[in-house]
Amino acid sequence: MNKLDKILDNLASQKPKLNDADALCDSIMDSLPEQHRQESHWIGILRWSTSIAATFFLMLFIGQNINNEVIQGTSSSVNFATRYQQTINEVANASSVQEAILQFAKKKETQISIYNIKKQYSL
Amino acid sequence: MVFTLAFRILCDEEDAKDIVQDTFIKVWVNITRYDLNQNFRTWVYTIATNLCLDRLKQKTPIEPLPEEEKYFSEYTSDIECDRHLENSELIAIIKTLVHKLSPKQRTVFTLICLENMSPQEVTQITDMDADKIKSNLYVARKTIREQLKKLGYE
Repeated sequence: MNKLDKILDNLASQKPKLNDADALCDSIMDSLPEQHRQESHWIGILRWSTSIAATFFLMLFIGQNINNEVIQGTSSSVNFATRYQQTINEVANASSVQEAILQFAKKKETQISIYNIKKQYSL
Repeated sequence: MVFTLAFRILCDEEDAKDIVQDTFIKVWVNITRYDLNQNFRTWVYTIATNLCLDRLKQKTPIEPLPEEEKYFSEYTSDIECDRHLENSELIAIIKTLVHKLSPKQRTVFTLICLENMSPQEVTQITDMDADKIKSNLYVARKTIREQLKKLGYE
């Protein structure tokens, strides 16, 4: 075996010492980025469809509630008249529809629709 | 394991620690890309070797200092003795031997002669074909022998 091979064999058996292995370990652990979870493609689709469905049902619910309020409002169009009965009575003596409407306008009863007035008094 | 490899290629303790850190971070980040058919050790070594090569290419080669050549002469005169060398002595000895090698020659020489890896493993790690590995190793050993002659050790 020549000198070079002896040198290399001896060098191969010599291992360097790692002096502060714990500190290096800690440094590595602190540097590790958060592992990205690779979601399945189907989970992504499920998330989107759940969000869309939830939004749809929410809007449906809100829409239904608004609709109910409107219906209640319409049915109480007569109640509008009842509520403003006093006002209506005051203008009932008006000689014409136009005069009645004018009276209402003056009293600023904007919530009573002209339709309701006509309905109430079969005009 | 990774520290020893990086230490021998780079001849610097701090650089070797950086390589160890970078290697394990890369392993962690790319673990989903690990091919189960591949040997895990080989995969880790591939990452570490590539990082060492990049670091070597960035560094300018430094000639060994006279004190470092002194360590080498003490080592060669006492080679039969089974004394464990300090890190600084190892750096000096390896640097004296390999400072004239190119990064690829140094890598191939370290993997085969100091890490005792087979040419097949080195092919997988360095992505060089068998002929390139042989030629790099031949040139590395020839350069080192000339260096030893110049220093009066052959």
